[in-house]
Amino acid sequence: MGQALLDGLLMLLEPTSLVYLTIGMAIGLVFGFLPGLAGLATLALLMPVIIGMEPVQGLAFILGAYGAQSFGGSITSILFNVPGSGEQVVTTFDGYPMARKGQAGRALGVSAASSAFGGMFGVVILLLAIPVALQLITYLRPPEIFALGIVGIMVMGVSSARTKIKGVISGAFGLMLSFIGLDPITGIARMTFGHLELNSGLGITAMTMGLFAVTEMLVLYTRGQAIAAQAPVKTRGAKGSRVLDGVWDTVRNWKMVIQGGVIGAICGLVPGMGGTVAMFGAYGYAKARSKDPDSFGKGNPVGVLAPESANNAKEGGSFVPTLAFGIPGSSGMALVIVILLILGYVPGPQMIDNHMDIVFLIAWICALSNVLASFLGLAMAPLFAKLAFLRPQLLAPPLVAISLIGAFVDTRFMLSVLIAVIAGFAGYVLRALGYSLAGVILGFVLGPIVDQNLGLALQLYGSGFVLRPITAAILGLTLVAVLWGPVRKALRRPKDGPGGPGDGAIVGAGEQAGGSIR
Amino acid sequence: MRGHYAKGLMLAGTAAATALVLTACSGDASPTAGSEDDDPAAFYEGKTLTMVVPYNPGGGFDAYLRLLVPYLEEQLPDTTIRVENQPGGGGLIGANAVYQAEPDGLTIGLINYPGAVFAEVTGTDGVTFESTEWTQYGRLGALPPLVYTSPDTEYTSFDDILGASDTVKFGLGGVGSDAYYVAVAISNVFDFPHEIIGGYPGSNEADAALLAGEVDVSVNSGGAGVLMVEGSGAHGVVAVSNEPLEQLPDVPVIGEFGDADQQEQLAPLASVYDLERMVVGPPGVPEARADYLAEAIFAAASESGYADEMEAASYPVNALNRADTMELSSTVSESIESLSALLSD
Repeated sequence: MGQALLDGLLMLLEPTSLVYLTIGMAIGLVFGFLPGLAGLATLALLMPVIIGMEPVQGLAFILGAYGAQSFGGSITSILFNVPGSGEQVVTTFDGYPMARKGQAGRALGVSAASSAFGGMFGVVILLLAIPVALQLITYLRPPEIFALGIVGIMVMGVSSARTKIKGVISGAFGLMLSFIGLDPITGIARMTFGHLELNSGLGITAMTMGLFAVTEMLVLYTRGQAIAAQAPVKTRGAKGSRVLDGVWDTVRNWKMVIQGGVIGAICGLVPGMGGTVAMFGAYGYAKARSKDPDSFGKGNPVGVLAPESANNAKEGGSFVPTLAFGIPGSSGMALVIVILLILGYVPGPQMIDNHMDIVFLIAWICALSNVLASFLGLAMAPLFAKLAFLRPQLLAPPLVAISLIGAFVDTRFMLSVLIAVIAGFAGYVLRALGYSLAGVILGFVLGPIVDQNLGLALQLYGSGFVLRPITAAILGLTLVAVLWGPVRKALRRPKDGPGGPGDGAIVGAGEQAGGSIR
Repeated sequence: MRGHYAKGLMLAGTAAATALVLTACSGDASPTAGSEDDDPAAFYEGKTLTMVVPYNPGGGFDAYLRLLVPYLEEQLPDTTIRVENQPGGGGLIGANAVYQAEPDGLTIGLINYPGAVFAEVTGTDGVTFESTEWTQYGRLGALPPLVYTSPDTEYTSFDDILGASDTVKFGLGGVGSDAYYVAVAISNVFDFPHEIIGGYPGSNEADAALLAGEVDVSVNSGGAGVLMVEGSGAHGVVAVSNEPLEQLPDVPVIGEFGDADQQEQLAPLASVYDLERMVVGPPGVPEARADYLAEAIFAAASESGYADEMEAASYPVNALNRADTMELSSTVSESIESLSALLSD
């Protein structure tokens, strides 16, 4: 094991491998900066290039690009409220408000530092989890994945809707949209109206590009002002809004960064959960733990660093099922499997037995590219931050065009472009009415997870599946978490009553709130 | 390969410009079309050939076409070749897309021929093709399905399954996948308590379920099944084939089990797998073009480099030319009736 770890590092440290890694990362940063072309599309577009390359160089090149692209996506999320991929919707929650306050540099600093840390953390998880991968997969069966999906649905409440009920409606709307396509258990077409293109659903890229890129540019255009136009001129480059301040934010909140990393790595380990759930989970967690939850969504750096750490930690986690079983742990991992095949490696148990050095090489590439991408990103951040001061007339048209190309590249159906445009206008209306577009996306992502795994769990274990230990624990804790708030509120109500807050609360609770509790 | 996309863009640009010039200069384009029919090589110059994979990236079908691209580009140097994944519906979406494509010889697909036949005879919703009507270009590989059981199960041979008293759980990646129909056929012909769980997202997930002991039996075509046996300690119990598998010669074939009647019922199932990975196009592609393209595909697939790369990924290449493929498929077409009976019970 130790020898393989060293072998992997030595393979990467060869000068040619490092050159390929650097080239890959530079390309990855640029791709990440183009909405819709981040993530999956980066891998898909670069794949033809690696055919015929030496395995080590090919892996360094393409995984370097993949490691770097997520930071590129953070840049657009923060500066334009346009996520690079569906997963990075969450970065926009607080990153964009920070940019509008003129703190784009600080937000980018937070993102870079927490991404780098999260990425490293994920690699550590990968190294720790690979030997016990079989046990992990034994415990994470459809009932457990379904239960985790339910946790995700509960997180929908944290989305940025104007009222709680609108947040729930947003999530439910997303869930409904996700059921368009073939039923995962019976294979019967649902709500496709005979359109074969719809059999695989509306498509996450088209939906994200529509609801975020197109909608945001419509908003920006109608407002007619640059993104950071309302920021007082003097805060540009002032103390508290520089890149270094963001790095300091991350260091100061190191606990939250680690907790975000843990959430991300777990979501990566569970096949099919992916980054969206990881980032929403970390954001919801950070908000729940915060002393000042109301500051979230208004430019709180913690709202950027927890999900960014989770997103990058997820990649390390999702390599575990990918390498150990050939089961893609995230959308990008499906293509990593092809890449490994092209380079002559078959992911699966025999990979762990015969090519452990390659497994570690992959881990090293991910670690190095995460850290280097953040340094590169930080160096360029002040330059990118100026884009937030650009007039919308210059910014919107190219961004919309690139986003629609991204929607097309994902499926190669023209229908996806149409879906993105319709989603864009629908998103504009929904946002104006106070619904949460991020909630719609979360529902859209969770729909298939819950749908498929509920079907499988019922087929395999009957309705008694909820009593499986881990499933029961997850569902039970979720129930407690949901009920805790109202119960505590009901118990506390007397505190705020006419008797004045504070003293004698317990006695008061028994007397005054009795009716409403029992 | 590196300039693949740039080249594609340039070609597309040139093609568009040429088209504009042609329409502008003369309204009569038919002489050009006529000469292309006589000379298929000229037809493919500057065109884009789309190869549809009806499955997700990462599987065997994807590998068969993606790794073929560089070799096919040598055969068709002036043609841009792109691979398109159109997954879903157990391969039906991609197969339909190929069947409905313009029959100009520019859209081909690598379909799972048995799977397509099964979908057709079981009247699966959304099937728009007839198995006898495809333009057939040839076969890239024939990977008979392997039935295998979990490493620590009580069922270590096919006889164990046939004599099972408890319910035998099949775990498969996708209702309507060919592995699913193999499970249906086997459990229809032989009488043992069974349950078929087809809702796993893919065969990898079904394999993981097998390793986790969630299901007892899985079915997978060729390489993937062999890998499970060789790499993970799964028990290969029976191959749905007329000949034993090259890699696992000790695993019995389906014809060795059951009485004469049951053997006769299962015979067409084993035969249809001789045609498993077939390159097809929509019906009505001009013969000259189909022959030309089929020859190029056969030449590319016969390159030793291609076979080596595929072998390394555990997908054996077993190329068959157009004429032989069509002859084989005509014999299978005769037994479609009996296949239908096998699956509809």
